[in-house]
Amino acid sequence: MKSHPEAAARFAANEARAAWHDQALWFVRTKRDRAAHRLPEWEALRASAAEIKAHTLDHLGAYLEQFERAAIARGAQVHWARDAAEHNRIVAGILAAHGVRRAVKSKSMLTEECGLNPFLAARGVEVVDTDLGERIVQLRREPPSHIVFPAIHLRRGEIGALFHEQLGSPAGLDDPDALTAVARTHLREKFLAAEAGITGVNFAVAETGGFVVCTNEGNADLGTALPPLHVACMGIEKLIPRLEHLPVFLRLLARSATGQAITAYTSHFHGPAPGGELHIVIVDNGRSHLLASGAHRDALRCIRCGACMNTCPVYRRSGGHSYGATVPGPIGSVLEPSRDPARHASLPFACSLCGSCRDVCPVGIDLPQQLLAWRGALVRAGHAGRARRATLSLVGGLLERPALVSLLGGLARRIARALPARWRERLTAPWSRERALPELPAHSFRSQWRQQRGR
Amino acid sequence: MAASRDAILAAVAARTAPERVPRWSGAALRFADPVVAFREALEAAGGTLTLLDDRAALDRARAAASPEARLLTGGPAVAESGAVWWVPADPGERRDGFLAERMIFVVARAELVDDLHSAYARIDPAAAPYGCFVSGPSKTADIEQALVIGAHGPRALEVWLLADRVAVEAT
Amino acid sequence: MNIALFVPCYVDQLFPRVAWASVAVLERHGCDVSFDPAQTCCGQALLNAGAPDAARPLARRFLELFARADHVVAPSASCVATVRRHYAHLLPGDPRTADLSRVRELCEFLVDVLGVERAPGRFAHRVGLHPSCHGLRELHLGQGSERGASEVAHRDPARQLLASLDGIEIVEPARPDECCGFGGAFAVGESAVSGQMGRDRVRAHRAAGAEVLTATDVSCLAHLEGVARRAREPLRVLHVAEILAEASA
Repeated sequence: MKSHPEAAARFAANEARAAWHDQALWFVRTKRDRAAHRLPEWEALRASAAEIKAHTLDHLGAYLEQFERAAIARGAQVHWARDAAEHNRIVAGILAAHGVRRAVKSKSMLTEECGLNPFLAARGVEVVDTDLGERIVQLRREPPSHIVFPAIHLRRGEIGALFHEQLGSPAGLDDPDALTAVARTHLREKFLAAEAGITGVNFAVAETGGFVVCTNEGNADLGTALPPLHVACMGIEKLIPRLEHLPVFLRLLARSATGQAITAYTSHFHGPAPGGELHIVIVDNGRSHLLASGAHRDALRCIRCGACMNTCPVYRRSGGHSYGATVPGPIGSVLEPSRDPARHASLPFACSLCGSCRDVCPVGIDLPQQLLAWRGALVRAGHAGRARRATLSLVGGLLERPALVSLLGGLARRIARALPARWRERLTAPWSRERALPELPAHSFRSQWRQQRGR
Repeated sequence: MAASRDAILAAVAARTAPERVPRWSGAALRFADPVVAFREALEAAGGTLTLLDDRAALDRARAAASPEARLLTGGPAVAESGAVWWVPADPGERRDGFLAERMIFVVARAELVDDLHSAYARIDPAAAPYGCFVSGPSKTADIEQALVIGAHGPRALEVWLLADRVAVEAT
Repeated sequence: MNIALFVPCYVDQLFPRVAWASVAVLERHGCDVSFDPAQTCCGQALLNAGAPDAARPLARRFLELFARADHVVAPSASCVATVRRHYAHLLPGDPRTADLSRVRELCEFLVDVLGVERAPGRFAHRVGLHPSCHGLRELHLGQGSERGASEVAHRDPARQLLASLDGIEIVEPARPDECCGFGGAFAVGESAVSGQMGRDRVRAHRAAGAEVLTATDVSCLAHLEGVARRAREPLRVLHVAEILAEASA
């Protein structure tokens, strides 16, 4: 599996695409700025959301139990899954019990994380992702590259070609309106034929046992209004204590994600529809581990808005696929190493520590500090390369000794100055691949000071 | 599966009931003219606002409405976001609303509030299996970030703000 | 006023002219500058590379060496950010980390402690000021674009001093506070992205008309200058101290 730097270099090599991707997401960041800055109470909302989420995590067990009681009281059926495999078995079991062969699914990063679609497909259930971006990547058999804009890595021509090949649209059609119309017709059929609707959960309310799903397309609503069976999948961290807390998060979510005041549809579900069934699957899959970690607990506040991705100068220039993880970008780089430190070891280092993500996170997660903590943990555990660890100790030891710094620094400069430029560049290749080397001075400041000021 | 439930709750550990629950205590958003604010927010989301004085105006508007439109009652309406709270009377209305090409919400003027906190103070989402804040037509920007109206749900949203409250209830 | 100068390790070894410019500026404003040659490094690079254990002795060394200094001044916002914002984490319980407000970036010191409002001299050029991420988002030297204008405005000492120079024109590039892409080991570990970030910054400043590019951090500047020279962009890259020293010479 490619590490982030390798995958990023590949993405960056296609300069036109990388520049477009960067520009498109920066534009979303500016829309977020405009929406956020219109609210004088924006920073207060962020602080409140952080406080509410931290509080909820501090009492998560109690709130989970309260949520379950209230949901059952409203007629929902509640299931618990320790891990991805159990989640998939439970969902497949519910569908099988109802003889479901065709299901539609609205956006759920959790189901992506668990690999639900291929699991169901192997059991003869057609699952159609109904969010347009998700449907596009589903047809292309690739993962989403952004948690809010799954197909942001694709240009209209590629989508046009995809639709021509798989949905029968005319060759060369690449107008977004026309392509969306093609998708509308195609997905309308799927909605009408669906026997079950699977959704994610944006916020689950412990007080009432209900939950909220936010979309712009209305696909979660069509997906649950037509079929009689609704399966909602949620991570344990999606809880908030009370209904009165919803507006705090809803006012932050869309503005942070897309710069809208609110999504087109903010749907509230409490118990099954008349004549229908509602199943809620509560999933751990490593979240309790993060909670217990202490160091990374705050990352569970995440409301999956994507603002950190939009603002991250690295994400914008490397694309979501370069992270090799369900959730990419800054928050993904904090969440994913917890699952598989060795596999995701390059992610916390795919960051210049600029701190922009921290300033846009609606729930105030200190992402740079989390990434730094991961770096320390990964280096200590030996996942960041033995060479790196050895070098760092060496450099640390060197820097404690000013006499050694003077000696080695002076030596290095003397040698480097004596070398022909091309040799110098070759020896410092990781730097000089992208930038010219600075002019090397003959003497260090400390030696000049001693000479001139005698101290 | 009870084993999973227990395992998860044990792993999470934090089962002590909270004593004090944090509450939003920030400044309320107040508009000098909520109707203007609502119109701006609704139009930014791709919807349109019509102001109607009375029952007669409502009847005229209904007569003139497109046959593809589905007329629905909603409220409260939220000025900061152009959203309308809708609780479908039955599953049929919910289905028809989303399958329609055009959604029209009739809302009493008195039901217009400034911000979302005020709206939640007036509603009881738990009282019905489904309720939705609708703030615009269905839309997507999934293809090259180009905004397209009418992804899967209705292609248009109209809100008719009716001064006469009684007339709304009779819709 | 007695100033203990802290010279970042890479400035000492590779960019001594920036340290000399800082000395010149401080002495011009009547300070008595001392430089303790026992100093080496604040530990930032090691901390950022995931080796807090290797950074810890350096942090202790720094605190020891500067224990009795009333004012510690460094021509580096990122080193100062490491000291003020990270030392308490790195050395939990160490009483010396309780108040490190006396450690300041150069412009911060000039404006906040010496009360300098106008920098003396002339610098008749179009200048692009690149805000160091650590200076901006950790030390709050300046207003980050992520934050709203309704927030309490943070002052920007470097900008204030530069703007007060005779004849100067400070240009405003697009994406004024996007990271330059240096990021320490990131510059070599993720060189493709780092290079692209640097090129984008240089281009933005050039498009805004900058003839000179400056910042409070040599790390950013070394990277940006390297990128500019490789791209053959005519841009003179100077640390803020160098501009202030040149202007008042």
